[in-house]
Formats: sequence, structure tokens, C-alpha cells
Amino acid sequence: MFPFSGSMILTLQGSRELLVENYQGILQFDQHLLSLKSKREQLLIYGEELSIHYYTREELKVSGRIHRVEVVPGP
Amino acid sequence: MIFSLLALFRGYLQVRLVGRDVERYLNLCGKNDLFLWNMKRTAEGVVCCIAVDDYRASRPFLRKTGTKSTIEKKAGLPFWTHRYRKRWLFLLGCFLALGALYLSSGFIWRIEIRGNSYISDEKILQLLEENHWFYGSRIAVVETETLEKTLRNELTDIIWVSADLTGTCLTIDIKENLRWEDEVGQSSETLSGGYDLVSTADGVVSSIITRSGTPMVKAGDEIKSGDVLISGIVELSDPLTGDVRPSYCEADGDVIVTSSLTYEDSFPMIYEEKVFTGRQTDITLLGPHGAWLWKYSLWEPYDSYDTLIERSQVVAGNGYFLPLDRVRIRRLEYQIQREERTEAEAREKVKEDFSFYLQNLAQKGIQTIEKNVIISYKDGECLVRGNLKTEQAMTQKRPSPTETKVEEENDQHELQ
Repeated sequence: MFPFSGSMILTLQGSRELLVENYQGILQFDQHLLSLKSKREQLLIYGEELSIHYYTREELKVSGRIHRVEVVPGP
Repeated sequence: MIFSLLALFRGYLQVRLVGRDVERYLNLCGKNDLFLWNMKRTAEGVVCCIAVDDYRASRPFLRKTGTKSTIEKKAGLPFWTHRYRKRWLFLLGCFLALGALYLSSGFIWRIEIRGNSYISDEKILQLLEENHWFYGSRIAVVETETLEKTLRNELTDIIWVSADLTGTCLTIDIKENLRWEDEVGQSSETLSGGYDLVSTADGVVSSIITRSGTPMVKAGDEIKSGDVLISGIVELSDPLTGDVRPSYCEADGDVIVTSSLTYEDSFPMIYEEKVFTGRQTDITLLGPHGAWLWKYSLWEPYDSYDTLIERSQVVAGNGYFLPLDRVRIRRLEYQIQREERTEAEAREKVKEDFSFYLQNLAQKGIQTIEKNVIISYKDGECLVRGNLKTEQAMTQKRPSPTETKVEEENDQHELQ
């Protein structure tokens, strides 16, 4: 099995936009924190005026002033 | 962009979601392919946009997660048509306009030709028309590759051609083959045979320098237009036999001819002049492209006026030209005033006109070496008469009489 299957793919455009692919769901969403979960880990996006530009089953695009992106072991 | 357009056509809602488990509602929507966008967290909950159909489909999830939703805004075509349902004629007009726009986008409404200088636009357009590519033809029948191939085959003077179709505009870029005479700056006729240098004006030869050929005149000779100045025939004699045979070459040399010219001009001292009053009226029309219907306009705001017309083809977007012209007609009122020139003003006008005449001569390669102009006034007219002495270099060439022609002429003389 491919060792990274189920991992999220992140594409950061400067500090204004972040495209997250291969995510499983939204855990928490507010102006300063967006928490997403995937099969193996949890993604924490810290920033200001965060908004979800759009999201589908496979991908989610966040915009706003992104300060920090953190990957922690899944819940 | 596509999301926005789809949402506009389908109709969408801006909703506010409040509850303890809004994230779960969002996840359920995502898993069931219900599309939400522009989502923001505010103090009063989560605000997002959702298509009308998707909102209806998500109602069970609202109940399941205990999320309360409030519709804040309704937007898009379905709501818009509902709001203006009583103004159905206006709506019908809008739909007809949209339909017309859609239909017209399937035809060529503009053909731009770039890069041609020798081959005229008309010639290229005619060629395109013969192959059924013309203003108003369907875009579906235009294959740019075939068009390029046809142009390359039919027009031998082009070395490269590119056809591009953007919107309703067909752009043809052409690169022409440089002609030989333009590259070397002389006529291709000089390539073979003998050529004489001939006079193009009556006058007196002031100097002659022969580089090749036989000089037929010398400095001080009077000549007429068409006289041979340097012949392209050089007679070579065989030192052993004494036979003389003609050899042909291209006559070359500097022949300067002095001529006299007479300059005559006259104009009335009393003249009429247009004086614009500063009053003007504008009207903007929309009409079929290329038509000149406004030429027959009955709109006559003033007794005497000048008309300025600005035409531009209506464009709906990037390259989407429509078969319509926007025409702005500006009418500027003027009055005719009779004025009388003073002698000083008349002299100034003579000076201007004469200077323009000299410039024209200089452009033709004629240099003025002496000029004498007399101004007189008679019967309300200013009469100008002058004599000019000019110098010009003779550069015209024509084929020398060939050997056979010379022999034929000799035979005819013998017979006579």
C-alpha cells in the first residue's frame, strides 16, 4: 500500500489562500481557526478573517490571512 | 466564475446557520454533494451561500443536527423573474436580447487583416468570399487551417499567414514577400538588354558625367523631353578587321538639366469664411453595421453646419463583435462671413502658397536655383506670376533600340 495514502495535500498560495485536498471533514470553523480531519491526521489552520471559499467532497479552499498551519496526529 | 454563473442561473440563497453542531451540518452537506460557498463565521453564526435546490435537499440535515437557518438574501434568475413577473414585456425583451446575443455569436461579424501592404484588403476579402468566408458567415464553417492553406495557395506574394478566430472576429495576419525592386531600389527592367538615359523635361544640359554608355549631348546643349542623353549602345570596333559592332549596356551617369518654369496663381481679395458659433448638438444612434442610414437623417438643427461622425462596432466582450454600429453624430453650427484681404494678407498667402509649390517641386527632385515672382492686384483679384530656373537630375531609362530594330530601320531607309 502507498505509505502516504489518505494524507492531505496542501497547496498554499502566499498567505491568502490554501487548497486542501483529500480531507474527510470539518471539525471546527471560526474566524481564527479552521480544523480539518483526514484519515491519519488533523490539520489546524490559524489566521484572521478565515473563510471557506468553497468546499466539495474532495477539496476545500480557505481564504483569509493565514498565519500558521499545523499537522497533528489524528484524533 | 463558473460557480457564480451557475448559481445565478439556478438561483441561490444567503443563509445564516446557528446551532451547536453547524460543522456536522456542513460535513453532511459535503458528503451528499450539496454545494456551499463564501462561508464566514460571524458572532451570530455561520453565513454562507447555497443553491436553492441544495438548500431544499439539506433540510433533513438541518433537523438532524439541530441547526437553525435564516434566509438573508435571495438572488439569481428565478427570484429575479418572480420579482418582475408583472413587467413581462420587459422580461421578454431581456430574454429576446439574450437570445439574439447567443444566436449572433455563431457568425463572423468582423474580419481584420493585418500585415499587408501590397495586397489590398479588398483582394483578400474577395478571395475569402469566394471560399464562403465572409462577414456574416457561420463560424462553424470556418476552419482556420483550410483558410490559411487557401490563402497561401492563392496569393503567391505571401510567405506566411495565420488565421485566428476569437469570439466573432476573424483575424488574418500576413507576411508579404519583399519585392525585388523594393530591396534594391530600382526597376527590374534594368536587368537585361541595353537601356538609354532619357530626358524628362525641356531645358539646357548644365553638366554631364557618363559612367557607362555613350553620351549623346554635352553641357550647353538644348534638349527636349524624351531626347536620349546617354545611349545604352556602345559601338566597338575590331582593330584587326575594322568592323564596328554595337554592344548593349545600361546607360548610367549624372545629367543635370536646367529648365525654366512659369508659376501662375490667382485668388479673389474678397472671400467667404466659415466661422463656428460654438453651438453644437450630439445624437447617438445604433444601427446595422456598415449601413449609412444616418446619411439621410432629417435631423436639421441649424441652417449651416458641419457634421462629424464617429462610428464604432458594438462589442459585447473579448472579441465578441456584434453586427451593430454605434454612431455618434455631432453637428457644429457655423456662419458664413465675407472677408476682404488686405494687400499684406494677400502677400502672406502668396508666400505660403508659393512655398508649398516649391516644396512639391523639391519632393520631385527639382531644385530651384532662381525665382522671380510678381504680385499684382486687378478687378478684386490678386494675380501672381513668376519665373523659376530649376535644376534636376535625369534618371528615367528606357530600352535601347535593339540590333534587329536598328537593322530594320536601316533597311527601310535603303528601300526608300
